[in-house]
Amino acid sequence: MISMVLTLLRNPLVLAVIKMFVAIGVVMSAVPMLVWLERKLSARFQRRIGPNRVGPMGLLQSIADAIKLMWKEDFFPRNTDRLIFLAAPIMAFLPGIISFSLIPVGQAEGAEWLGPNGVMAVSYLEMGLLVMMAVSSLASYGLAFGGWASNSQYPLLGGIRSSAQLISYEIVMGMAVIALAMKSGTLNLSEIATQQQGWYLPHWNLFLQPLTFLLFLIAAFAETNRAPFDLPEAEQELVGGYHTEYTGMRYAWFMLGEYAGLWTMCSVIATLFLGGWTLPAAWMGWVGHFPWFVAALISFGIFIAKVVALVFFFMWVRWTLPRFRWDQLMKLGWTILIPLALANILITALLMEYGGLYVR
Amino acid sequence: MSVDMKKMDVHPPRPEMRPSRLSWITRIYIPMILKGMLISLREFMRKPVTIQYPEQKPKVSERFRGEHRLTKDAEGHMKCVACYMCATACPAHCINIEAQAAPPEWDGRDKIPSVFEIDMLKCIYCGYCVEACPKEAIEMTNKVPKVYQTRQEFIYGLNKLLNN
Amino acid sequence: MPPLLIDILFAAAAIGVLVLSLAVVLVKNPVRATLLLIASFLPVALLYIMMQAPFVGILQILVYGGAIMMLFTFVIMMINPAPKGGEIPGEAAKPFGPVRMIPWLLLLIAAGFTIILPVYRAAKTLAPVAVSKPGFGSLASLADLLFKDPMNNPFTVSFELISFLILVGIIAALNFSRRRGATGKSDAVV
Repeated sequence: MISMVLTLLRNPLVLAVIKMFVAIGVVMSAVPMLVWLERKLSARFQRRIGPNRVGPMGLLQSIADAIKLMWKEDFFPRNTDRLIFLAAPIMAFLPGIISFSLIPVGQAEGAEWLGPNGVMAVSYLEMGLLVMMAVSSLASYGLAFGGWASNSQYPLLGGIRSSAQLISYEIVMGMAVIALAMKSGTLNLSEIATQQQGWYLPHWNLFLQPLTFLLFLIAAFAETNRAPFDLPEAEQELVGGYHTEYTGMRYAWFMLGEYAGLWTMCSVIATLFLGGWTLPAAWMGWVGHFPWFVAALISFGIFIAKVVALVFFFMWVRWTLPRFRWDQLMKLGWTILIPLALANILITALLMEYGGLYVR
Repeated sequence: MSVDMKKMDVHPPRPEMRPSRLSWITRIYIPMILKGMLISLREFMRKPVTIQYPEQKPKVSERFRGEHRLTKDAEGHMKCVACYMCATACPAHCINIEAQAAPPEWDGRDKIPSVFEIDMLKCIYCGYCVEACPKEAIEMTNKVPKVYQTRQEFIYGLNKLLNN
Repeated sequence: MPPLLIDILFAAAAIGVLVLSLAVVLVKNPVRATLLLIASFLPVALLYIMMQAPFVGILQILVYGGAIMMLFTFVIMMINPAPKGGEIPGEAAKPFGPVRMIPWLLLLIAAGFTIILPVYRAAKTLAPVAVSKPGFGSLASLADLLFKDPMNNPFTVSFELISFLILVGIIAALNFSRRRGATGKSDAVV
């Protein structure tokens, strides 16, 4: 029976379909947990308790909210472009799932049929990092078009802000990635993660490229529309911004999209800068001796732990920092971060050429 | 009386409302961000101050004006003599009293209330009824006002007030 | 991939490009046209990837789909031009009425037969040449093409010149953003 399942798994098509479902399942089960985590953490940062009525520690709160949202009135504002109004929440949600499929989540040594070197990912693209950037750059269209299709002032402002913010910070993120690609010599995400294996910490890109990490992190905050860069949905100025006119399940799609984006962005940072599924000192020495599924589970656990730690960091920042003003945001992006990113590329190039660093 | 602008801590209007120049350590953001994040982390570590209300009662002051109570004398009879003073004093008109003749064996009074109702939804818990009472027959406990499902339940009758 | 699958993918992408690009021109609502233009880049990228040029395909989405069209969207939403043909945005964007759709459909079929087939035949004769090189279209071969032997490589100079031009553009944009207006107000409206 088990051998039959294993033979079936070795069929690449079957494996690909299973991997897709697993990837979607991971994101879709992570999102309600993230919403719960955000509410719990924000409560603790403000010395409250947070949701604790539905399920143990309020864990089922998100499900209760989803059931409530499903029964809400199906509302359309007057004179809107219905097609775009309907499509926008889905456009905001899909990129999060698609880019998660590019991220290697673990390594099962000895299971070559799972992927090259047993690395677990849905797709192993040579240009994985570029594809990730391309897909995540499409995420903001949902916000922009949703804001426009609402036919209302505040959502329109939120949509415009979202598009302007994305243009500015996409450049910063791209330039940060250039320096990282120069150091790594590849755009393959699983190779970048594998390069960071080692017995001591400075193998992580976080320590090898601190400025790149800082630039990427700031751009990531802006791309996921989280505080201090949550201008598109600024509650206090824009009454919710692009999703002001959305109700019920369509509003929920926007929320899911936001948290799916957060989850994926944290996975990307974990892969690029924190060594993905690898852990210094622990890795490769003894995990490789386990059967492949145990190694897979351990590496997946390490990856998830890193991502959750990053999510905690994102939420910590959100509940600490006030929002940037609009002109401050633009000034920071164009006059500080972009020159810094250019300088970062130059420094990396000089270090590689004359400093003898990062030589493979 | 002349107003001293300096003492009132009012900024004189500036010709150009431009934010004052910050020091460079503030303007590179990062140290100040770290400082702020440490503060929020400290708050994160501390215990929440939330009171889980229906299960956990808040600790109130001795002088807290909560739900009313009608008091009794040494023989166990209620002190109230249905004089309507409290109902007259009540600014919210939430007290409704109907009087009847007192039983002959009760000393020192002609009337007692047959109906004494306080509508807890209307009551503003000002304590004027307690001030107005000549017999010290009504007082305020420090019980936090309760929540019910129907309006009828908020109207406290004679028995409930006596045993409150 | 089996050849039949490639054929089906090619046909789907080609028809997608044609239909979406036609719709961009025909739709009266500018925002819908923008959305359709973005959507039309996706099959174009697919075509590039099928032609052994994944890098160009991804850049098509990243640069054109992600960055430049976002700029278009921003400008169109800022100006918010009134859609021609009606007051209501949703009502205006209906060039495909049930009756008016017939000539467009005929035109589409004609275009399909006149354009797709020759292009497909040409692509079929060209394809084996491209496939025969191992690693063609990959990052390494692109890097070789652009930077190998930089002294004698004509691509290196032009590539560097173009990147220098973009850098100059960025610096110019920064300079414009730094310059304050006559009123001294630097705060943006949005």
